[in-house]
Amino acid sequence: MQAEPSLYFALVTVLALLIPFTMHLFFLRGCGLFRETELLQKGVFFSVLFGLLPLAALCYFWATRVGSNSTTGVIVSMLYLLLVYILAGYVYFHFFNMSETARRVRLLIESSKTGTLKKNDLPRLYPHQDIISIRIERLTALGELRLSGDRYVLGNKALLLPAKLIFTLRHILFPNADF
Amino acid sequence: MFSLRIIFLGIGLFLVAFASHIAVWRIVKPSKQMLWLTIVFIVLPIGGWLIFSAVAGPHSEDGAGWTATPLDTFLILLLNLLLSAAYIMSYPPIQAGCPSLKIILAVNDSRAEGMTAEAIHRIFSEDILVSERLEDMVNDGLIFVKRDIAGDDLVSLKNETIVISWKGYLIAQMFALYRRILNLPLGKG
Repeated sequence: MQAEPSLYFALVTVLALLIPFTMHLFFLRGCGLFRETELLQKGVFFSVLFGLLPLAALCYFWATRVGSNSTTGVIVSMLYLLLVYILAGYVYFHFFNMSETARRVRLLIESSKTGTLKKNDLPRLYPHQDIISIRIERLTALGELRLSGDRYVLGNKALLLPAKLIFTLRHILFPNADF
Repeated sequence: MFSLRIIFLGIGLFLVAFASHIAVWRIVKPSKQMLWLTIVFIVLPIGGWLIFSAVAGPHSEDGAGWTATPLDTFLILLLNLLLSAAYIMSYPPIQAGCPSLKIILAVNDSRAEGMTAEAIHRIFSEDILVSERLEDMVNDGLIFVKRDIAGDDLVSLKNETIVISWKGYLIAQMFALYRRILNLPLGKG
């Protein structure tokens, strides 16, 4: 019995979800690329970008071998796959970022080592100064900040719009919050 | 087989959930935010869609309406799930005010003059950076804080001990495993 084209499409969609992680794994472990601290986030970005190649192969396979009979059906299904892939890439980027930069994840990992953690020990394990210094270092490596003399100025401004958007949403959801 | 309706319905479900999220947060301000985000963005849309399909399905048999096939339902709910996941992943900086983005906005406000490293450090108090995150984690059931009653410093709460919950332990182990799979050291936070 031949499987339904719709079943193939569901399978292609699920495979598309796995591409960002698989590509990232391939770059890090297979090629040894993007392992330096300053390249970690760029590595995820390039994994999602290069993942468009296997996605295109999946789309081609589905459209030529199994796909819908109508051209409109094929175009709409490709649009859906692209949307799903971009969202999967965005979610994966944030998941990786959480593992790399989230204070909560760091605190959880520190606590999970022994099960308990004295609050007194926190400044030693996770110094306040380090939290900021690491971020300044990371933003400089990403080109978001640029050192001019002894002062930091804005670099490529790629994160400026997301920053404004995030703080606007914060203002809508938590009008009394400290900014 | 495949219509734009699937994309519109997936996005529509997310927008309804997003509007409900703003309303709930402005009115109730839930303390267990991760639980409520899951309810608003995942449980309600899936439940709502299944109820809507069950109610609307029989009326469409006259040919005027549209009945979602199991694949349509899967694709609509998957799109809604991914949009919700994208928002939920972006939520921690919205809730906690991401330090990196705060630095960008502060440096942007300083214009061409820029900011020294010391000035950037002064934007943040220790409370905002660590203590508030600990409170969030307590509210989300990831850790609990035990006060050492034999301690002599109860006023400043310096003798508190952070105890990780099973849920927090699972999340910590999941991230540790993920970093091991990537062959990367643990993140610096």
